[in-house]
Amino acid sequence: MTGVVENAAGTSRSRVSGTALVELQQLVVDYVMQDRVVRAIDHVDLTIHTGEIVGLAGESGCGKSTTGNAILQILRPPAQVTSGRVLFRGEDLTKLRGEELRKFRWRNVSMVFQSAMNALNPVMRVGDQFADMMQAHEKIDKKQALSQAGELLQMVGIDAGRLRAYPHELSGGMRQRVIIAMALALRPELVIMDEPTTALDVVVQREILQQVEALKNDLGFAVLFITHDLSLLLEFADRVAIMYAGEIVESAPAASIFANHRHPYTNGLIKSFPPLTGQMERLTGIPGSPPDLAAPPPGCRFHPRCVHCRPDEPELYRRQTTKKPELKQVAPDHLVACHLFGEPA
Amino acid sequence: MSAAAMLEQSEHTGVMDVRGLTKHFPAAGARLFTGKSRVHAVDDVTFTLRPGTITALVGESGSGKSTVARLLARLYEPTSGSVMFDGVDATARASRDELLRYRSRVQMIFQDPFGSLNPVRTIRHHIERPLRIHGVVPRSQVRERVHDLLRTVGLIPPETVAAKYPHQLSGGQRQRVSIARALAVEPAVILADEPISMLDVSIRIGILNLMLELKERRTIAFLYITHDIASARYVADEVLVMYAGQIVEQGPTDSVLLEPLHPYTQLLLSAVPNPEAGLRREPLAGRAGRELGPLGPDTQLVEARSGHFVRRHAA
Repeated sequence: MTGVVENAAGTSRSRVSGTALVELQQLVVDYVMQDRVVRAIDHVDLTIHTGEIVGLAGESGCGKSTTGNAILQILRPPAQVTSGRVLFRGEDLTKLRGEELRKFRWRNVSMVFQSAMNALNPVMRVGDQFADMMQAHEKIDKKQALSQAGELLQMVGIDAGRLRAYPHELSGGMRQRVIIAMALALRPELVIMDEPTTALDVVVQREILQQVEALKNDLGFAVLFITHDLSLLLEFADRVAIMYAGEIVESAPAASIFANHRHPYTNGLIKSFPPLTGQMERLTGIPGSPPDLAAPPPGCRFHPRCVHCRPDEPELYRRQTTKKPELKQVAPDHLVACHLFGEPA
Repeated sequence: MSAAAMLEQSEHTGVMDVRGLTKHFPAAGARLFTGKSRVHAVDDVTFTLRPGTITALVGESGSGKSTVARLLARLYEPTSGSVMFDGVDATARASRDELLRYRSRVQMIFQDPFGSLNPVRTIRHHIERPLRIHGVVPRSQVRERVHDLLRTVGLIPPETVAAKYPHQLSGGQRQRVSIARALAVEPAVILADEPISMLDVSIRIGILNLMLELKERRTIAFLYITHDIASARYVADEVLVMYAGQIVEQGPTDSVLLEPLHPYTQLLLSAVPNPEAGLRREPLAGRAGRELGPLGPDTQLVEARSGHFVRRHAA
């Protein structure tokens, strides 16, 4: 195979000096039900380096949230890791149990959930919720915990006096900031953010993202940012991985995903955003809908929706409809799984 | 010339003329913080919905945009102002029959395609109901009309889709069902309140394209309520930008969105993720650090360019 990393230095911002923090290796997650097995994640490789913002994008049900949950090892039955490894600084998390796992969660990796706005307990003051969480992980008295919580709130731009507030007294954006402050409380090395701003207005969304970026630069944590809004990632992430039907179909530095994306699915996602400036033309989005993962189509899983999959090119068509495309390197740090690129193996 | 005076001239061309629409809600809790006992949810809003056009009402949560839709759907009584429709003031007290007639002419599509369909009823039931209640077609033709409507919104084959239950459809398909249901009564006006915000990005364009087709083919007047300003640019002929209950800017889409005049419109536009504008733009000053005026009681909408109004301090 050609195109092994020849030019590792300086090709992109994402060639961070950081070491590999989290590595998913051939990860497979199945939802095992009585009558059938649904493969939600199918042999996924993904590396997150220290201090890096990695974006994971795709449609509902593509497995992006399941990937986040697998890293934190919070998959609940019927979901299970069937094979593959989740390494955190070289240690396989799928081998951890009970107390080891409890210590790892939140201290090493924390998470901001999809419905974080509703994640706060409505009948507890914000400060007490901080103290609860901190005392569960550290030997710390309540007074210390509250004083640290006050500092954390200030870090995300909320007055420390709000520790005495109940969640309903805060706006949606403020609640989301509180959740982010909580996620940062134990100085984790990775924060997984699963659609953290989807429910918020654009102005608030941008303020929060800018704050997360500033905090990341100060504190040095890495971020796995999960969203269906690719336009957000193109601005915010260092590297972007595109997921479709449980597989990663393309990954590259954010700038390359925008300017030089190769996969027709990535192209479809990008062409789903009407432009704010310039000429307006009728967009098509992506025709059809994602496949049923209980019975995914043979060959390339995207082929039923792909504009480049046509019977009038019989040789290519045969491969597209029968053979699964492998992830291949098409440029330094740029992988694509598509029969249109690279030689047939 | 004021916005109201402009609209005066076009009185007879518009399907729905909204003038000085105002809604105050009593707010006991608000007194604690602001000293006010009323929330000015919608304050002196004036615009016209014309057949075969899409008017976008853009704003953030709490700006009052959904209240406008609910006022036009007659789910709320306005505090003051008028809504002229078919030559009748739709804010006046109405009999049950008048309301029924109004609602067959003005339909609403809601944000949540999961919550707005009955989970134990088939798709056929949802679309048959308005046909029967409003007596749109004779009983013998109901079945065929249901299939026509499903075809119109791109749900094919209609016989198969009609037999399904809401949970068997995707979010985008469910929203198409909501649109088919709204179309069933052959409305002149459709109020679409954030119809795409709960859908996947890849599905959204399909719904927006459907709205564009419907306005062209059926000369429906759409009020498209959204916080997604890029989607407003894609479908709308005219844009209204709302903040804190007031319209701060309104006019032809490209004039307002490509050359915004009000600081709030500029802020909204600068917050939208836009890879075209280059990655990593300079930080946003944010609402707190930014002058958002002119806004409030001492301001008025002034025509700055042809048909393009912006809120300015009263001279």
